[in-house]
Amino acid sequence: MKHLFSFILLIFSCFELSAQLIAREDSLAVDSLNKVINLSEIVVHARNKNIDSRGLGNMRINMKQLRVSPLFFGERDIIKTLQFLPGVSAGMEGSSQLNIRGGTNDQTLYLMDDVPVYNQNHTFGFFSMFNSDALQSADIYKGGIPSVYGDRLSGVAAISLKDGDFNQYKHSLSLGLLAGTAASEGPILKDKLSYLFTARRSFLDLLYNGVMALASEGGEGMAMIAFYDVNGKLSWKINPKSKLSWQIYTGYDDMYGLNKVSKDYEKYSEKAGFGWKTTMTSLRFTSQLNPGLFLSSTLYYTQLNNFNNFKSEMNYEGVKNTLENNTSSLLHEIGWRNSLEHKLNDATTLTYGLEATRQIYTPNYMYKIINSNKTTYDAAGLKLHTVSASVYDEYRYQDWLFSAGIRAALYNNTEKTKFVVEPRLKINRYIGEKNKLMLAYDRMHQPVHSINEMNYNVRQDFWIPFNETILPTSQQISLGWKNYTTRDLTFSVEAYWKQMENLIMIKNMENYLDFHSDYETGKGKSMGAELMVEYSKNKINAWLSYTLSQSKRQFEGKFYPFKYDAPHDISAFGSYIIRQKGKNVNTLSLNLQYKTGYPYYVPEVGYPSMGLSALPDAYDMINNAGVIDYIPAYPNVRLKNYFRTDINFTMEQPMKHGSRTWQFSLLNATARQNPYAVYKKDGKYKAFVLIPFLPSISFTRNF
Amino acid sequence: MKNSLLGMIFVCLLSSCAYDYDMGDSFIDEPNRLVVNSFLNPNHPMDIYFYTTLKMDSGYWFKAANGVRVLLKEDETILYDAICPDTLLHLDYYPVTGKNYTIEAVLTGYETITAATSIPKTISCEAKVEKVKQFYWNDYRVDLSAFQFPPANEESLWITAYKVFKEDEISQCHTIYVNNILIDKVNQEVGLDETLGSITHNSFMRIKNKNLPKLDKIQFFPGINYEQMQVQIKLIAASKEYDQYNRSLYQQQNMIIYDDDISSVFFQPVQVYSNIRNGLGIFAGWNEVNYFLDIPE
Repeated sequence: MKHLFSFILLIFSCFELSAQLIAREDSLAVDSLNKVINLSEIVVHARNKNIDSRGLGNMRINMKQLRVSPLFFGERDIIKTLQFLPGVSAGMEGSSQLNIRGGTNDQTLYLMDDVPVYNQNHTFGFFSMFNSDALQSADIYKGGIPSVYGDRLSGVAAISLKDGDFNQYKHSLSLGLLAGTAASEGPILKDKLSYLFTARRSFLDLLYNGVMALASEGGEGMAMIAFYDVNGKLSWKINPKSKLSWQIYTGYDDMYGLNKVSKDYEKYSEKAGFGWKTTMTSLRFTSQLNPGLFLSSTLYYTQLNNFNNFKSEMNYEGVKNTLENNTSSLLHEIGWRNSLEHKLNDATTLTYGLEATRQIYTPNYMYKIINSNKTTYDAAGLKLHTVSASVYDEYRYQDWLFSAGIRAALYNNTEKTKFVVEPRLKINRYIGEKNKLMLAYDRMHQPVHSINEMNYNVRQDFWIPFNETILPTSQQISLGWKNYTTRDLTFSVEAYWKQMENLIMIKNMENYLDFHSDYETGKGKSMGAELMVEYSKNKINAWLSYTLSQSKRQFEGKFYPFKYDAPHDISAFGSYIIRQKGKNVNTLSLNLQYKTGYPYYVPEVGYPSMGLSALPDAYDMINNAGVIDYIPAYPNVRLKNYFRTDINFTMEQPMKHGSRTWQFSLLNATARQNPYAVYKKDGKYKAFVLIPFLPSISFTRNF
Repeated sequence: MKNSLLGMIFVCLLSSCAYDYDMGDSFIDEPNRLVVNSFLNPNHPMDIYFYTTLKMDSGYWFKAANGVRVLLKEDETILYDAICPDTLLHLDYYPVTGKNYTIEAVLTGYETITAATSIPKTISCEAKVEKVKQFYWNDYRVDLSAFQFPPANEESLWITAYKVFKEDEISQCHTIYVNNILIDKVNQEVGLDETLGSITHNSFMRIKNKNLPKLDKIQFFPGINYEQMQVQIKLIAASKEYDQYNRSLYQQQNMIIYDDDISSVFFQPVQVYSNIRNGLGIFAGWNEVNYFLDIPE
């Protein structure tokens, strides 16, 4: 008798069989297979899925998806793809945020190879810092969050970097509209030691500055955007069961103006701008200590530097003067993250976690340098020490899988120490071969938060640790049903109810930082239902998601809709291989998104002002200082419903050495005017449209 | 052909635009409110303005309010307790440095409003203007130093400068070249002057309370003309209410979009600070010291 065996039903999790599966999952899967099943023949069906619903509240995106997803300014972006998943909101158009189930972006824990990321944006958030050439996969946890994860209220986005190839060299060059990318990987010692290197750099600023340099006397520059990121990873297979890897990331964003004058008797340059710099490095050791014991240990350092900087260098008749003024918000974190997976028997697996961090924040670091003499004005720091331990037990009994965990954490901000306990529970019940019912409970705490006022469009993320005893808390209950209709078609329904307490609304950021005043504490509630249908067969790959939700905040005793509350959110993606001849593949894909407009603050009332401290004619750009637009304390309207159609066409063509890929995208193909910001001007309401219609192109050469 | 294609792509990239927008139905029904506006300064008699917001078929507007019952106190002393017959309550009384002021205003059909503020002590300094050589020409620089601050208060410092011409003609310096890290960036702009640097502040320089103790000197170029007789420097000691109101008002006004282009990506609604409980407006104390400096030959 021939048994059709599905990995999905046996190990209660949907693994994709792929040569790139990390060693741990690969060996565990086979180990389970050997012990549990004794069959004469096994047919393993490898599902060709780019988006994988792996369990209650957990989805995985494989990098193949990015090859057919529409580009944004010519860039492939994992965050843009995650934003289409049910229960995940992008916030305003063009952002790189993941607002999970009524949470804010700072309530999502971003991890890159287990290292926390504190600003995932490049270029106003138009795309993320994650370079697709370096990525293996991305997991998102919206509920049923394993107890090894914590410190954020709403969810986890765990991005995995791939190891460099241990056997052959692979290189690629990509060019988009704003940036170019180079990537290389291969063995240093065959099958022992490999490297991975990627570098991405914007080029518009380089071109412009180059033209300026060629101009004989220079001149006043225009506002420029510059960014780069570099990923490096070394992976060493110490033995067949142990691996040591070292990764480093550095990224830089700068929005600046540059003036340059170069004359015979004088030369000077001035640069004023703001931006951020992210640096991360980690050493990770993974080992199969014995057949039932797997260890993962990561020692890391992560840093975020938000800066506002002015530099000038003047050289007049041989006398040189330099000046630099800088105001920064700095964050340094050193951490050690460990997990030990202990398979006691076929039915029970325990996972232990231990984590410690030391975080140092300097929210307002100011200095000036005049001709190498540095004066520091404000370097007052805040500190946070965290220690957490967790245990997670997966117990299988007949058609049930119980996953119960507990996470205990100690947070110390040098003034107060908070001890928190977070129970986590997940129950799976298999009904027949095609249905699974799921229930989860999560409790989370968040010891750090970003500081923003009523920001819809955040340029920079400033972080500080919790103050006094105000530690935000959330509780979430999730229910789910997953149906494996056929091996090509699955659908799942999840419902959730989440409550958040001790949320902070900052009314005046300056006073909040300087005096810890001008803020309110409040609550949040969100609930919703999420539907996900996935279909994958032959030339077609498609999914459809729908989220019905309600998300509210309560401050000063009043409930009002959360700024990214969209009761209806529908996303659909479909890709079809039009032509496939050997490795010559042409794929057409379509992305659709429709959602209810976000709540927004529009001035309805105007009243007289006292005027600014100046004479009326003193403000170049201000001609209506006599009337104040009253912005209500709570959202008073909803923006128009949002709809966007994106089309992508990918051509992959083999070459004598390697291959080349052309990717053409059209964002907002129907040119719908989706409001990005609404404001009052000349007595009328106006809506600003960020993306009326955006074609993109990208070329990649692999060799 | 290739150039046309490339041009079209960049036009599309930069074609972010704005259009007339129907805001739809509002969630909230704004109540009509009493508006109180007053800046209290020891150099000026007290003027307090009253208005009400008004809901009309076409939206909201405001009108002058008469018959407001006002209770005005200086510390515990009642300065005024009567019905104000006009939209402006004018008292021939000068607020006093260091005193606290409260107001309670009642108008039939509106919620009773209350507000409080105090008059900060003055901030002073040594001020001078001198002609300095800037590469190949001369310019006038204002130097402020030896600042005197009242200890442990909540005030911030605002500095404005004015050009004083013959026949009492005066105009505010709206482009102030200054490069001092302690000055708030809220109104900082980037211009270009090859001798003065590129950082300018639009019409005022604000130094927040926390930065005041670090302030030793400020040197700035207010753009003095040769026709000027004097430059007036005004040092404003701003109460917390005055400071937050003016800063947030500047932010709101500065957020108004003028070009409907990609720069609008930074737009977001800005609330203007108000300390009028149950109402709108501002009731804020401030103090000032002025220096009239002769322009050297």
